Amino acid sequence: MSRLASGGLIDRSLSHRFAFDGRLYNGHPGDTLASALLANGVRLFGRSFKYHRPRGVLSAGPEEPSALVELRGGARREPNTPATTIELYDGLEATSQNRFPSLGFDLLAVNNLLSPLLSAGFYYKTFMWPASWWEKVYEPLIRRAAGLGRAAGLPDPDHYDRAHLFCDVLVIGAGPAGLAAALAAGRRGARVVLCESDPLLGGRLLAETGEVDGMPGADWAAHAEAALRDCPSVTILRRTSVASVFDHGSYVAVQRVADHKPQPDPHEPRQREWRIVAKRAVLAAGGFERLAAFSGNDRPGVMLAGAVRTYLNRFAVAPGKSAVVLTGGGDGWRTVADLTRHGVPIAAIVDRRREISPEQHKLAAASGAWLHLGAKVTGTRGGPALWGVDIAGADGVPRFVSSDLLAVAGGWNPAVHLTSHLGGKPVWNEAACAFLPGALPPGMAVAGAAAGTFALSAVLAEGAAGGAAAAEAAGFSGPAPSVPQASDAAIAPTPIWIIDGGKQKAFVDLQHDVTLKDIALAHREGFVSVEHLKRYTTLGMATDQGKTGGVAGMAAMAALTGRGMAETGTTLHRPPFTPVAIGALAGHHRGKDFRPARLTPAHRWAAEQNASFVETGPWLRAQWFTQPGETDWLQSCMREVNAVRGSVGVCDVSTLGKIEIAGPDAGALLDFLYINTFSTLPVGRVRYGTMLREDGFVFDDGTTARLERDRWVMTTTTANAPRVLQHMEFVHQVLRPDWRVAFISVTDQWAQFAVAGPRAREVIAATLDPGENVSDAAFPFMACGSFTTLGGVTARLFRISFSGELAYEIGVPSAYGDALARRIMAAGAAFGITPYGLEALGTMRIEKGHPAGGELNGQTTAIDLGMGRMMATKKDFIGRAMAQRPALRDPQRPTLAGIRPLRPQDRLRAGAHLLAKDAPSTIAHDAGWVTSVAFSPSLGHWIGLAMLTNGPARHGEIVRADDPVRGGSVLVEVVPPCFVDPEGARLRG
Amino acid sequence: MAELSAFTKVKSVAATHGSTTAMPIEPRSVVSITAWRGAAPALADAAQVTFGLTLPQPGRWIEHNGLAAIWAGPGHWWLQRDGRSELLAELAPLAPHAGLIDMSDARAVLRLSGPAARDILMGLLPLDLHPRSFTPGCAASTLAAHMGVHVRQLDDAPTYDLSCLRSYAGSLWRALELASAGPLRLPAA
Repeated sequence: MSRLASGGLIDRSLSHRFAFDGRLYNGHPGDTLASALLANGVRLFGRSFKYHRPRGVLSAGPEEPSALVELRGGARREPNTPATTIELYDGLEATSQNRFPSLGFDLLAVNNLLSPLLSAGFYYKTFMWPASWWEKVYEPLIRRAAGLGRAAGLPDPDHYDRAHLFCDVLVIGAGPAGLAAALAAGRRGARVVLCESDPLLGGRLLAETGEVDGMPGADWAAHAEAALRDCPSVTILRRTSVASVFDHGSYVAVQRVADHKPQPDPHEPRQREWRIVAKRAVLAAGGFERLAAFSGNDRPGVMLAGAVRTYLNRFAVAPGKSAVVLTGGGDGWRTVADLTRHGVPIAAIVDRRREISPEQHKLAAASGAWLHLGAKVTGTRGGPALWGVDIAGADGVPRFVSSDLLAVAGGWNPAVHLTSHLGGKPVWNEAACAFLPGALPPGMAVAGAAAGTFALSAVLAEGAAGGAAAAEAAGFSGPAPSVPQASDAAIAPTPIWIIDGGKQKAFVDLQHDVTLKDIALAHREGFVSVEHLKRYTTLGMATDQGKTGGVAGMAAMAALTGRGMAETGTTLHRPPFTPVAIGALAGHHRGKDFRPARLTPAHRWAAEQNASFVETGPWLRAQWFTQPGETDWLQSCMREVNAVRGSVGVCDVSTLGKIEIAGPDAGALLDFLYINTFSTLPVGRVRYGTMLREDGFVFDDGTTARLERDRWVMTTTTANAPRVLQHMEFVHQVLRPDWRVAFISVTDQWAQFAVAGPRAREVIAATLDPGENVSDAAFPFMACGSFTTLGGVTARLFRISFSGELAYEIGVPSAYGDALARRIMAAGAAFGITPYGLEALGTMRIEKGHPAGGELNGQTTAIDLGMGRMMATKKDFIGRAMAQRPALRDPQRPTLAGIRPLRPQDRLRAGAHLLAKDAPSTIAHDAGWVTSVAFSPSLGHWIGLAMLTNGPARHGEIVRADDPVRGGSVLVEVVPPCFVDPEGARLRG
Repeated sequence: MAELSAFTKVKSVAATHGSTTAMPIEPRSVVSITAWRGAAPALADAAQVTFGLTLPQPGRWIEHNGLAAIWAGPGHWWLQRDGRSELLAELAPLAPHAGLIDMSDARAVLRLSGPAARDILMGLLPLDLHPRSFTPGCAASTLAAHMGVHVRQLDDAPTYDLSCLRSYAGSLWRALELASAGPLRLPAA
């Protein structure tokens, strides 16, 4: 056991039992999976991505590149989860990944021997021949060998939530700087949101021994938290990582609400996406300790020196029995001090400097370690765990030290990532030996280690000042904040980037297995820019985004080019800061809740009639109504068409766009919108109209009724309803704001039904309240008017027809829609009234040759659709000028025509192209295409509408409908586009 | 003849979440009023003189004698009253200055009231409902789960009315259910 006898922020009174790779262990509340496994002496956590090398724990936080595990099992399996961020709970199960058959013995470790073949860009070079093998052989093999964990492959049983927060000051990170900032802003009364990815507030205060205001750092953090709770305007979000920065002070944070439990409580989301809007933000994200690049730096047992202190101080775990400390300067000596204090033997201290301070000499003496000044580490030895370190002294003499822990203090990278999300490039600072924030997102300030300030006293002062300034800028002034006191001195940054010498691989990216050799190869091959370097070697492209090793990679390139760090620069950090589950972004929008659905007022009635519903835009519409014995939609559709043509049917047309237009200038507006004239339409009449886009092509069509002198109602196609309204808003707001006209969508106000068929008048008469007169004389074709039904409910009645039969549309306020549907059914029972759906509606409109979606496809003109003569010549309207372009008036343009198969049994297919009968199937002979087809129950064979070159002149001609995609070529006769009752006698009947 | 609730698909038409309740408010009479260009002052005068109603400023709503006026956009208001009535006809004195369109059945309204109402709406609306920025008398037009909604605060319970297109009523109810299923465990602030 490696658990220290005392100390740490763990609850020793409770024990959590957990399993790793099937073996049971014990830990305590307050542990992470990593600390609990280390406490149990586990060193080997996984196998690396490419070479399958054994890997352990490098860090103690979200930057962890190596100790990735699969957490949980079954549908809740989460691959690639850093063990350093997994809070231990009782019953936790985790497994190592990327190994076969076991973590200890991994067959694919052979990749390590093949590494000369697997260098940067290997798959671009090695597997070039034969080319045909790439997709079938090489890629599947590579994909199988590479990669890390496995996704669950099952639907996620948990749900994810989204919520919004607004605040004056967002503080990102609750380390010393963040706590000081939140206190300063919160005490002024500003609304503060403090986000901390850890379950505990305090950041490095929990991991270090420094004192604040005369008490241990962790105690001060607890006091600060209590003080924040006393500020009513402060919200603390723990286990919450700010993932992304967006425009106008918008941030996205992800809260791991239930990740620290086996499964969420009832109704509890697993995670919640917070969308935060903040007037100001203080970035106090701290820093990440760097991985130095040296021979053998990936062996389990090689650990960041700051992480060693975290395990000692926070988790009371000795990550080794005998340590070597490698440092570039003062920072590593803090690890020496802490190891000594906790009684962990130190075998050797390797300081890159030749001279150290008297205090450090004292620390070395106290530790009993073998001190090597001006020395370096040239290699590590061991298998699944470290057992020794090779050192070259200042004299160049190689020495070997037995050790199972190598603590590496290579310096710290400020966590500048969020400052780059709006494009700001980090800037190299020679004094801090680090990339510091460049141009900041508007409203953001940076404090503490994220700004390159590492001394605790200065961090606290910067945090307090930053919090106060942010509150001030958000309108909360007050006295200067009290600054928590600490008495540490700044430690000069003494980074270690690269240690040369040694024969083993020196990694700069542990998660993607990128080594110094790969950087050198990229340099030789000209991928010198850091952005090219990144893509060629995949440096920093793993899930950890190179938080530990990335800058060492840049440094290696800087050394190769001799250009220095400032000129070499760093790659731009993009969102998210740490990996975000797609589920957290989807929130509740999955399955049936993927998007909202619009239901018509009579939806329940249609469902009772056994309707099959289809999504049309957001609407659910009845597609057909299956009756007992029907096995096929075409059967149902044909029955419905025959019922309408033979007797009477009813169809819910509530989804058609309805726009009510009120005001004295409504007629002028309609004249301007439509190609034909409306202002002359008498009250009580309906007219069909077509509108064009500005470019002269047909936009939409429908009928508009004049209900009163200054009140009209327009119908649009279901699909175009929002766009037509938008178009009208543009016309009114921009082109003719002077017109006294108002309009609004009343689609939801009216439940509307089409009643169609030879018996429609009798049904409508029986539907309306007694005494209403709908005789042909009183209410002729294209009439409209106001009636009552259902005992005094206002109904709008329109005598219009889409089916070509005698037909009406009747609308009532939506609350009465269900009742009206039932009333119509009762009124029509004597005639066998049949509900019909979208398929029957479509079949009948094709039989009548009415253009719809396939014909109104944005490429057709009014002339193409046979409506050229509708275009008024004595008024202006939208699209008039552009419709006059010669190409749009070319008689050779494809024009609406009907087609019927020569052999009645032949099936037609929409999308087929039309060719002269004997012309070869090449594009040069293309003469148009089939836009809509239907099996016509009225005629007993397939019919179609088509756009055919010079169509109207070719009635009677035989052409070929060729469908190379689905196969088959059908000879068809060109006919007029109206197949049923071309004189229109029925609808006027 | 029986009217059918916009929320028919919903299993129960009122729900509670602790002492917080959600219930449909129907029927009601609603008229959309859009002032002609330049006629807003005349419209405001007419509303004042005829109905004693001061048309509210952007982001506000007011009520007088059971008739509520809710700001809905530049020069655009909803005038509404609970229950069915001939509101459109009653408002005829405003017609010289504005376009009036009956929307009584076009929108569905849910009333959410109680201590958890604000937290639940945090999950649904991208709006700052904190008492410092949204109070009784405030109204806004926004999005909830991809649906356009109008929201107004009635009192400090707090009580909010959410109104959406009637056809979306079932989906709005569902979104509210989802937003309230997991209580937002904000630390007591």
